Amino acid sequence: MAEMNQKLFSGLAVAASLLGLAGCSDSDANTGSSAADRTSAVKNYAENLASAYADSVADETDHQTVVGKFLADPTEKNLAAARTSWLDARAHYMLTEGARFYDGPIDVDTAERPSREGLINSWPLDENYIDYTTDAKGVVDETVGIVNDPTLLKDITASGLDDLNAVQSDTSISSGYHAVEFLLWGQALKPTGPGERPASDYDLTGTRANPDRRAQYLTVAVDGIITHLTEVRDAWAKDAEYRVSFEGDANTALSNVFTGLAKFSKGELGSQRIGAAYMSKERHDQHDCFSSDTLVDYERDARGIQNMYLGKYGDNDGMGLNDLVAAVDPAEDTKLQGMIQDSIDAIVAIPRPFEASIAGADDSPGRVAIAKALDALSRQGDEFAVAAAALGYKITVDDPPAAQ
Amino acid sequence: MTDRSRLAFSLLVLSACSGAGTHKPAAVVPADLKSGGLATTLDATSDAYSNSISGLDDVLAGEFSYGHSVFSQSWVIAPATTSGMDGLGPIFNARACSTCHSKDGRSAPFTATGTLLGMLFRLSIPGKAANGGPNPDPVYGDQLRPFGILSVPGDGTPHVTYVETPGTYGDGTAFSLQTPTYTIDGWNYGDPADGLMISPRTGPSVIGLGLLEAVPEDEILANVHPPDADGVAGVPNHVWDAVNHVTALGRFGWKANQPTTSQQVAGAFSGDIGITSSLFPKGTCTPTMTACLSAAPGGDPDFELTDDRWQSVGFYMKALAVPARRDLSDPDALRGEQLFSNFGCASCHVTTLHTGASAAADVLANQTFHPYTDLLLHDMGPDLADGRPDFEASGSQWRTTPLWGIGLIETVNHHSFLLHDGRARGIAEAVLWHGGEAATARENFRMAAQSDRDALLKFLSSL
Repeated sequence: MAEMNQKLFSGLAVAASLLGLAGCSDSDANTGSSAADRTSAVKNYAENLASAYADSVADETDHQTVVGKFLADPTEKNLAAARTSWLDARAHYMLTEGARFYDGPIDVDTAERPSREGLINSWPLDENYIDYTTDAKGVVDETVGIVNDPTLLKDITASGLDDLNAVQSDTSISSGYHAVEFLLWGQALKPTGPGERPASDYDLTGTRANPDRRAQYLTVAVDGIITHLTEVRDAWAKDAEYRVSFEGDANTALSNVFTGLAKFSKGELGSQRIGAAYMSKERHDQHDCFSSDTLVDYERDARGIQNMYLGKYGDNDGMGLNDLVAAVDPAEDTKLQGMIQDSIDAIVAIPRPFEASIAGADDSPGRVAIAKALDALSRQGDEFAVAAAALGYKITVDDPPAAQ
Repeated sequence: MTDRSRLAFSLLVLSACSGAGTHKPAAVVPADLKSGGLATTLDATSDAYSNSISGLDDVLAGEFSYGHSVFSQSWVIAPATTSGMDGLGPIFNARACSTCHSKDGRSAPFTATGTLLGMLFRLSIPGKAANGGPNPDPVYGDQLRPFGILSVPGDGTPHVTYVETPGTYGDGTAFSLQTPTYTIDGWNYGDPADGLMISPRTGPSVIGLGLLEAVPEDEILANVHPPDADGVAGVPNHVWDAVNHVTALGRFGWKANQPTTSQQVAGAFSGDIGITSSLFPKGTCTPTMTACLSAAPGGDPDFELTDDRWQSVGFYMKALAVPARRDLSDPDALRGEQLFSNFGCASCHVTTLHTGASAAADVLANQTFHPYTDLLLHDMGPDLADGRPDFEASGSQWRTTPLWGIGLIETVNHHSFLLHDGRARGIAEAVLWHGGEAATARENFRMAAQSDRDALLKFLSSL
């Protein structure tokens, strides 16, 4: 992958002048901040990301324990604990999402294996690909989905769910956080608020069909998240092949890092996660439609972007991209830091829950606040390209990524 | 000397050294990064087909995102709580646009285990419909819908078997082509009418459509000509414009049977997913399909695809950028480009077209770009023929397929199946399947030295 990215970005230098894609300076990649500082910033970024993935694995492992307790004793109290633990288990993963869109370990896919991101965090998903649903007339169809239809998957295993993920369409999602979210909360049938799946769906003596397959599904879906998060964590571990190659070419790495932050800001978090919902007014077009926790995700995503720019994670505050940019153009650094804070503030200002805010007239407080966040993220994405250009990296931003 | 003039110079030298075939080669322009003009993206990752053209204002950027979202999402059975996305079927080929156009690219026709994936089967019987198009089967219509929602059976089940046919290159190197045979069994609504014709078609990548739509008709028709020394001709298709109720030049689809992306989109929603729209408000159940007719419709009272969703997907289709050409300074790829012309490939896979005005976006207007198609129909010979006429296209004519982005199919979609039914396993096999008007060009390739064949493939892989 490193080789591929090198080719791409050496092509970029030629391309920018031909296409006029970026209003960049002509400085080369080694002016301004020192090569040592750049390498230091890349290493710090990698170390922080490795820590965030390690924390994500630990979070999900804790979640696994709580889910195990719930399935052993499927009471409402234990279901509530499993839901709380799902919400908690996302805290660190959201902070990693700015590291997308450069075919790193989270995104890279092969003929044999789809991207880990696709297996871990795909959305939106069709409920009736997984389990029973209730239609608009209140009729429950207990024959549909992988839980109820063994012809889709005879034995429910983690690899079996991976194989079915996104097979019929981009939204026929069988694995990952949001599949688990649906299994814990169920369909959100009211206009706002979370789903209200009863704990008795998992009770072997209950009235709902296939509680055993549902429990098996929940168990292995959580296992699958741990497996794939662990693979990503290990790819970023010190001395791992990807990490060594990433740190070995600071200029390619920094181009990638800026590309990821720009595309995640503008294309993914902005356009796909917030913009598409703004346009459609559909609660399904929000990240956490079953738990109604969407705005928490979006705020964490935005804070993760800020962390990556500042070189911070947890207690660590090392050499950041801000230090590199400030060394060549202090005003640009100040401007970008301001924009990043603005986008966080704009997301925090959106009235909760998100599904209530996306409905209504364009001049309603909710939609005005969402439009403001969208605008802030879009401008922030473009500004990452300006900051990258100040360091001599020519990146393109107007490439909204595929939604996953 | 600038880089560009040096490149042109080296190409001139090369062209003087090669000269295969009887075809008078078209002039090769200097290698151009910008396959889509200003609508080019530099992304060569697995998202290479999914980028928007640049320079969209906030409103159009929002339109693009919304279109992407609708394109990607599965439609569900009505009535669902997601009222905007319900109304699947009742009989259907796919649940989402992205089923057949995965990541805006090409899905494989079948899964490794032989399950239908990104492929549909057009149906018709002899004669013509009132609008000049194919005459639909009275029960099954103009397309096989193998799937149905709960309690509604699909039309029937398609199958494919392949037989390997060996061949040799001019230098004695062996190759093998797989010849498909298609059958449909399990007809759930009785036998189809006599003389049923079946045309299998995979979903192509959907990049650069806004550029192709903005090419003035005069420029397309300027390439229409009587057979040349190699027997290459090229004729337009004239098809039904369902929006304006007139006959119009066909540009899109394997047989150029659609005049606009907008109509293609509404047609695919109706035929492939069973989603009605203001353009095609009638469902696809025919009078004898009682279970199909009694299933609940979704969405709005009148039709399922709201006009704003239709418009957004239509815009999305037009605003997907074209990946830049790569390996611009690779001598083999550049030599391959010259051979592409020398062999006669460029007679139909026309390198350069131009747009005029574009109603969709400023970036699409007045562009010089490189789709490697003339958007015209050519007789491709009996081996590729589907035997099913489509408006003015005969059973052996196909529209020249654009080649831009062809080198990234494996990166994006992880397979290399090419041609209308995905029978070719890679570019070389696709070339070897060419017949009819393309027979001379194919023979020029087949008889060429391995190094020349490799150079041609290197060039095509750089697109």
